[in-house]
Amino acid sequence: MPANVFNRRRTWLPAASVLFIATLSACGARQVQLLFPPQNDTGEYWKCPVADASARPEHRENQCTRVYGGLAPDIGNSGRVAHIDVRTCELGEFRSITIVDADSSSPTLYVTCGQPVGGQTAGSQTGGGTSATPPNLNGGLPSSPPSASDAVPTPDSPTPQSDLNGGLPPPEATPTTNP
Amino acid sequence: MAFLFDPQQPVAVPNWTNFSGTVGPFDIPHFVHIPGDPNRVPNALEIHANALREVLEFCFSASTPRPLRTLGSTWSFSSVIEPEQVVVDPGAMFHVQGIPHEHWTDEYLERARGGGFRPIFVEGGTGIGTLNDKLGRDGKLALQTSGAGNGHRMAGCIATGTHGSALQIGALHDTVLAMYLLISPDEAILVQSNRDKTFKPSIADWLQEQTKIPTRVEDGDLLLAAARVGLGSCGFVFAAIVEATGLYAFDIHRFKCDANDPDVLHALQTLDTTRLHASSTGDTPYHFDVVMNPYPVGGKKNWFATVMYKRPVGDREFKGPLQGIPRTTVDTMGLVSSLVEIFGEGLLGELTRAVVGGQICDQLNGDADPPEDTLFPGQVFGPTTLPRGQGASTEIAVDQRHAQAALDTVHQVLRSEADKGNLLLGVIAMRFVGRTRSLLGMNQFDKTCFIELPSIDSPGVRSVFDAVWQGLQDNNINFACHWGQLGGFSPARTQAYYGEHASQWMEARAQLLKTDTAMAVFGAKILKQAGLDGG
Repeated sequence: MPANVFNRRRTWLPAASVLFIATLSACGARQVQLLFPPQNDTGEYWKCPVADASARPEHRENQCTRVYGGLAPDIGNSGRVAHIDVRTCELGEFRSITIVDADSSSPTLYVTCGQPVGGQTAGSQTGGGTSATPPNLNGGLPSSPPSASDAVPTPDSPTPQSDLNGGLPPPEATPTTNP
Repeated sequence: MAFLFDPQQPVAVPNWTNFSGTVGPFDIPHFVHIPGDPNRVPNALEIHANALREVLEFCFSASTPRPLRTLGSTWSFSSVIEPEQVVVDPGAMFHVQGIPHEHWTDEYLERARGGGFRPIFVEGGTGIGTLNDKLGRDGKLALQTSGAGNGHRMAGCIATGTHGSALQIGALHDTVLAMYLLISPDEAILVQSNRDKTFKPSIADWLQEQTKIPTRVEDGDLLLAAARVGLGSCGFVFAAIVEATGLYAFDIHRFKCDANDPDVLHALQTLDTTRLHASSTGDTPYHFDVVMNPYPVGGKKNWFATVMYKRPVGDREFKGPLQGIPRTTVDTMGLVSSLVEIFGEGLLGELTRAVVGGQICDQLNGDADPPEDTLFPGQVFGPTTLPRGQGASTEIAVDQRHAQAALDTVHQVLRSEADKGNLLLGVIAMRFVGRTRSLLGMNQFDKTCFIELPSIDSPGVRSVFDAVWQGLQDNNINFACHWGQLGGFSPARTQAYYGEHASQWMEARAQLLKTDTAMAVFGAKILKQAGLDGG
């Protein structure tokens, strides 16, 4: 693992982060899901699917309820103060996804990308799903399918992606002049 | 399909504050998450539209209309984000798609083919980082400019006039070709220029087919100029149609200098950077900025000038963001986050000018070289870390011809405030941007100079900001403050800086929204502060 994967500016959960990154690398995940133990009276898990490893999370303006990994609105529950940061960094063959600052008791980090980490079957706790990530959205990761042991439902269909170039070929190389 | 929004069982959020802690706490009675993950459902746009229409129906149908605010993504420091009764989090609204060229006008098709431009439908909640990645990876495209980081959401970024760094382009909002606005529960409009139409009327059917909202096209130059920087008050920004360009890379050169370096001062005054970089003669940089240590340390480099040149990428494979923005001088908010860790909250009262200057100097001088000679825009302006609950920033905009006078004023104020024990716990960053085509874009001049003062928050810092604004006013320097940052907004300053554009914006807003109810729903405290409420 490259040494600089841990940026000095950030607050890390080293053990969990190492596990997480290692898992990403091992399974070539294109979807992962972060789960934290119950933090409120409901007993529900607080969840943060990060389905698209290439997407930076849509940070929340406030510090409550749900955190998106760039997507997945219909998940999670309220009550947690936390801040998830997903980095799309290309360090060798994988990208790191790390928790920047999750307050209260140190959360245990679980990952669903074929196999849970941390001794609990994460997928069965969440009811969340592995999405069918559209082509070209694997964030540089291999597009391996979820393994048979993945305890998550069948993927839903994504919203169709249109051709960004509107039916034209991509533009030629950008002019070298600085207009 | 019914949405989760149930007015009888509202999701309330008590003690809400914005990320930096500069707004709030407020109790929000109705906090709404828009559902519909575009990567999981086939009809995300329709789901988003249905949800928004339910929320708007709730806001519009009350005997006293309920004001609605939409959240950005942690970057707003100002009252532009101040919530009232209903708050919408559009985090799931990140669908990005191309627009079939059958709907482009012939004139725009010609421009697109000749200049390598492409109109892109970008939902309002899309993060700039997500957009960069999508454009580069799937389309070999890039934004023409963005903010200094990639964490903003599209709607929030342009609504507050967040400027890019491109000398020749203007700000991100100046690359917006059209705005797709929801102005009532049952009406959406695509606002585009009348003079330079991008789309044929058939675009309305294309949009309506996806969202199921009755949609029409509204052609109007002033309407678009108002809606681009709309302060969240010209309707709900469902999407912006942004003009992307062919993927490019930046060739970056940074120069470490002594404070008051004559060559840098010359560049600040003239925007002629050739003395900084001899080989650049005849090649105007795409980007130019200068970052300064507010409390220079003797014997060390305290000013940092950066120029960037746009370069073709050829067959080079697209790469996503680096783990951090490679240059501290670009990532000024990340630098402030670092200072938070260094100083710690409890030490703020004991800091001295020398200690602060020394730490900032170390941060600015501590960068490693970027991994490659040229970087994609999304790598240069990539992910940063914001100081949660401890950030503050103001940014003033002045005509570039007054840049030197404004900078002198800032330094003068910093010295006098430091003598009182009030320290800026951050840096001074100067950037230069081309003229806007938006009524309330801060870049109102041929070249506008932005002077940003990002800092750890403290009572002393707030005194510094107040003194800077007052000092500029006392020295008769016409200025505006960034809509999304802490600002001394007032009707007089708005009028002095924006002139007739302010009244044109109010007229255009009224024309877009049409009814008093809509004006109330999309009202905001900042409008009154800045004299833009028509009152």
